[in-house]
Amino acid sequence: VIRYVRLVLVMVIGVLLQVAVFSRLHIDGAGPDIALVIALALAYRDGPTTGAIAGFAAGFGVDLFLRTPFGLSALAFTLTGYVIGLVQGSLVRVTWWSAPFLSLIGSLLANLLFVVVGTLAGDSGLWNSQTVAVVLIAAMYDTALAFVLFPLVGWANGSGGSMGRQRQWRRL
Amino acid sequence: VIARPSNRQRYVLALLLLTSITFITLDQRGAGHSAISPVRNAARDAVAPVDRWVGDELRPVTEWFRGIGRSGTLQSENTKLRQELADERGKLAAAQAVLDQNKILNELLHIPFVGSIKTIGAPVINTTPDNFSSTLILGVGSADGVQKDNPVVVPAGLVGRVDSVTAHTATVVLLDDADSSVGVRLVPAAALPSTTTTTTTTAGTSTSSSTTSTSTTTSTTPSSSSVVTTTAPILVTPPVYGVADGVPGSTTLTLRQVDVKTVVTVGELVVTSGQDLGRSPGDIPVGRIISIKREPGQLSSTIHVKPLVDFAHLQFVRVMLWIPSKLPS
Repeated sequence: VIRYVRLVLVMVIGVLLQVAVFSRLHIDGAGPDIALVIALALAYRDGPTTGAIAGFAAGFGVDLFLRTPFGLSALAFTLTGYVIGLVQGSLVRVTWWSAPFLSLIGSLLANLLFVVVGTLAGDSGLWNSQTVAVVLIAAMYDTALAFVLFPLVGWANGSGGSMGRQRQWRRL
Repeated sequence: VIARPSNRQRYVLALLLLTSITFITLDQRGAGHSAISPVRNAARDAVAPVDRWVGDELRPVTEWFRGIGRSGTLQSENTKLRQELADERGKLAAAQAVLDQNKILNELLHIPFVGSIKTIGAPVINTTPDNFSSTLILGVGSADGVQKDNPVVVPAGLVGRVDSVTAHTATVVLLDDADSSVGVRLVPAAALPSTTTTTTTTAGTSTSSSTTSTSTTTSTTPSSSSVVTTTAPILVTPPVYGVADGVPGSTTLTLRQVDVKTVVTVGELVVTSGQDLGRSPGDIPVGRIISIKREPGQLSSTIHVKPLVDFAHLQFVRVMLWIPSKLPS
């Protein structure tokens, strides 16, 4: 129970940081998705089910503060959390760059899904001449933050290092 | 090789995706408006105090971050500003006497083009936390009388319109957002009687004179410290109307529905027409035409308009408590 409380707290703080702090720290118009990176960290440690649930929670939290259709981030982050959870289970070797690399892939995937599904849902403003640049910068921003957030989430999750990751993966 | 997901994993994924799609569908169809809007409003209201506090505390850091990726532009801007500063300092002494009088007048008049419409001052507390829209969040809300569709202005001109309101915050869609479109009228320089147009440049303050009995519209641009006073033109030619749209991924606007036979020139002022189904009152300065592209064989030209307002550095704005139904006929 304490673990779940800690995870919920981490997610709430992540959403708050994203909404109140990092929305002001944009680089060339692109900001990071803190909540998404937290969800990716959980997917990386606990696999696809946790990844999908954490992605949904992160997206739901962020959606509260956006003008885009409600549920769009939730959809994009759920799928991303799931995919990253699946990919991490297939990693033969875990190196120091596995986590940031998966974070990069996850961020790219989540933002692209957000834009594509949003455009399909009728939000025509999402796809424009700046979209690719914004998605790339956001992904790099997320990757940089992954170096800090992944260990932090690991601590909150109560699972340590790659062994913890593999042990929990087998459990699922 | 990606591991094969188990049935439980697939089931959880499907459930979450279905929930998300249901939310999106409900939100898009407006059916969920009553259910989703209060939740969103409550969340924004809850975060507003934190937002405001963070905004005040982090201002130096956020200003520094805004500069990242713009260092080249900033350097040339810096040189230009230094030159301007030297010029302005000389004029400052002469302007000092005018300042006191100007201050009193400003307090009385607030923003000239607002006229008799009631306005409310509002701090800008944040932007929307996504990468794909151009919006501001203001520290005023429905409790202060702000309503959806209220126009938002600064002395330089129109900023945008209120898109949604909570009790203590309001989200403003800026002119350059993809969702923004505003009915405009072009003010050709030739249409302005020269005797009633005065441009005065002073150090940081603006004075304008106008010797006419007709109603006047004044726009001030603090960044360049210049004033353009235009008078409701004695039109020889019929007024030119159009619609200024925000362009996704760009800070300029494009004009559409401008009559193809109209002669448009770069530098013309664009003001609100007050005719776009009454979405905003008329004669609020919007921007200046910066380029006109005529493609051979095309019926219309692409006209780009640069907004008069610098959206990146807004700290305070005024919300015009004006809604279409209250439009004076």
